[in-house]
Amino acid sequence: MGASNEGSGDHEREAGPDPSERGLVAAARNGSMEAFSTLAGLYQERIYHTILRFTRDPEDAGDLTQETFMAAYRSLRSFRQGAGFYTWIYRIAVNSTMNFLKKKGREKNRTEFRKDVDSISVPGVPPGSPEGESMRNELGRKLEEAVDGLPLPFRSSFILVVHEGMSHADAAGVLGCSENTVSWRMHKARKLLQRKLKPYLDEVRHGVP
Amino acid sequence: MACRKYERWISDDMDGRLSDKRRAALRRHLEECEGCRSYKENLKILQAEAGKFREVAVRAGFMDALGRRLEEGLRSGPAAGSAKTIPLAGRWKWVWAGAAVFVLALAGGTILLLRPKTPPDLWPVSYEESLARVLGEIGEDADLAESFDQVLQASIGETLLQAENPTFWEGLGEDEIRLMELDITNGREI
Repeated sequence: MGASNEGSGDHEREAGPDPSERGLVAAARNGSMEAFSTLAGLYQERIYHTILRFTRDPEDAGDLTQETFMAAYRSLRSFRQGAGFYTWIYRIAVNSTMNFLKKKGREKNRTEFRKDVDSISVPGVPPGSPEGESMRNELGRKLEEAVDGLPLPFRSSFILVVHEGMSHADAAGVLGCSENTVSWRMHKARKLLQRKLKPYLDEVRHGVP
Repeated sequence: MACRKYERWISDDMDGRLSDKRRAALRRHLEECEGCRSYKENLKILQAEAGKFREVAVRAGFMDALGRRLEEGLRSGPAAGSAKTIPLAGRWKWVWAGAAVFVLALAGGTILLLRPKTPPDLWPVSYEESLARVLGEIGEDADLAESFDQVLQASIGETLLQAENPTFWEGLGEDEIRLMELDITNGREI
């Protein structure tokens, strides 16, 4: 989804639910399992990938995806018809995942998380050069580890804003806190990451030694 | 100290949350502050790297399998919108609580109905009523009046002996003090 400046992406598109979605939700509320399965089919992949960003574990992400939709199915009465179904279920997914991670206490190292670092522009290093590639790979690995090591409140804000492309307002809505809190957490998360990765960042900024 | 403020503004600016006025102030600060310029450059690299994280490609059929798992879960699980339904155990809890209240109320009512009647002359009475009754019984009987006075004076004497408070006298009325004087002087006026 890219950087946060691109806007809130999917979440803005969910602002006005389309009529077919409304019909499916209404049918599901009336007990239609088929309607709910159709809704789940529409969103389960996106929800799965969002959860995977937090857990970094495909098995846990699969279990939590199922748990999210089951919880949503049981709680259909609390869903307000005017709201977007995806936004609602997204909030359930993030909250379930946060609770899971809190209970787990410590997070597993990722086993299947890859990144694409093809086109990063680094001053002083020609794109695609072996030196630049090596530095970017090293920085990317370190960044993933550093993000994993952030305290959960900072990490959740960072993932929602930077990875999921949410605005502070959207992230605050999902996390149940104020925009100002998200802003402060983003600042602290960036500061912690910068402090931890400073040697690598300085190296990248000043080019190959 | 001022740089802390600008570091937060740099973060807000990256998320498109900084006002025009603050952005202008930040720009002026960055022109002067090498440390903040360096900090901003580092954050830009972090942002670019983090923004490159991509979704993991799931293996073929994974999502279908996930969908089937979900459908099985829906079929075997509770019905839609059932989260607010009180589970059976919860309902029984209220039934038992209601039964306990009923039994207690029944027992209390039975005790009230079956308790022995207290004779009217044993009912507790106030001090004034009690004194009035004693005085009424004494009436014109001089012997009884004298006995009553003696009892009264004796009780005052006991109180006086027990009183360790030097300001005890201050709490007595005029009549009580006079009675004590008479008692001390064996009936002679001072």
